[in-house]
Amino acid sequence: MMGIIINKAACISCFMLGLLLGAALSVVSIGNNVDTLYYENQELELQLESVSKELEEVKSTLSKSKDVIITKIAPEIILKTDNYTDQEAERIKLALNKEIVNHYQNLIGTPLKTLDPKLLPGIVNGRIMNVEQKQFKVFVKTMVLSETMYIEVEVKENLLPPSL
Amino acid sequence: MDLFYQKLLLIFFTSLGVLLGASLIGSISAVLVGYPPVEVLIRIAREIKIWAIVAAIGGTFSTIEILQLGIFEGEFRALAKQLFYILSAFVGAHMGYLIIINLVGKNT
Repeated sequence: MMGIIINKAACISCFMLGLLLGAALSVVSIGNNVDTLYYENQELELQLESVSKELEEVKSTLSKSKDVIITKIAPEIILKTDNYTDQEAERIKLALNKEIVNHYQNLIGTPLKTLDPKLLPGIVNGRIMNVEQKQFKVFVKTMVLSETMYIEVEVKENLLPPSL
Repeated sequence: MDLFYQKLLLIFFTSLGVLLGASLIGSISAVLVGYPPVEVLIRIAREIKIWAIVAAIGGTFSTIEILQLGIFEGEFRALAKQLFYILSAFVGAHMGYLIIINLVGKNT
């Protein structure tokens, strides 16, 4: 009976010792990464704080002015092909989305009444975009101008080189 | 462990163990409360060094008493022994500190 109790105590002691040694070794082996992530996190928190303040200021300035100003570009991509898996299609859509937003980026902050609605679709309409080492031709289907600029585009893969 | 060299080794390893144990086990707390563990590890190692020396030579009063005897009553042999014990404790603690610093790979 006494022997079993001693064994039990020894087992628990060994377990605790192993736990502490394991924890100490993990601290030594991954500690540097944890430290880096901690400092990066702190830096990002700081950035977030300053950007949030900036955003609030911009919002309050915008609400004071009566003109409608474009604040966001929201493209909607329709990919007309069955050659891709869902994941590939999502990736292509995301990249095209980014490209289209880049093309209209300069309009953010512009008052709506200063824009010519006839010219805006032409910025990307018929344009060939290189995404994921493939070429896609973009056709603007719908465009709605408001605070959020909505653009619906149909995308077809351009199988021929752009010169042909 | 009454011989001089035996006691010297005992003190050396005690201070080394105090420093390694305190900093390695102490830094686990940093992980639990979401602080950078390596920074805490190095800070503990730096701050605990002097206490590791004190703990290894077994409290300060007897040592100071022997130092006083050595200086004022001419017990130079005891005085020299105590100085070696302190040196041994210091070397052990410093070695522990260097092990920690090299283990985490930071130059501080």
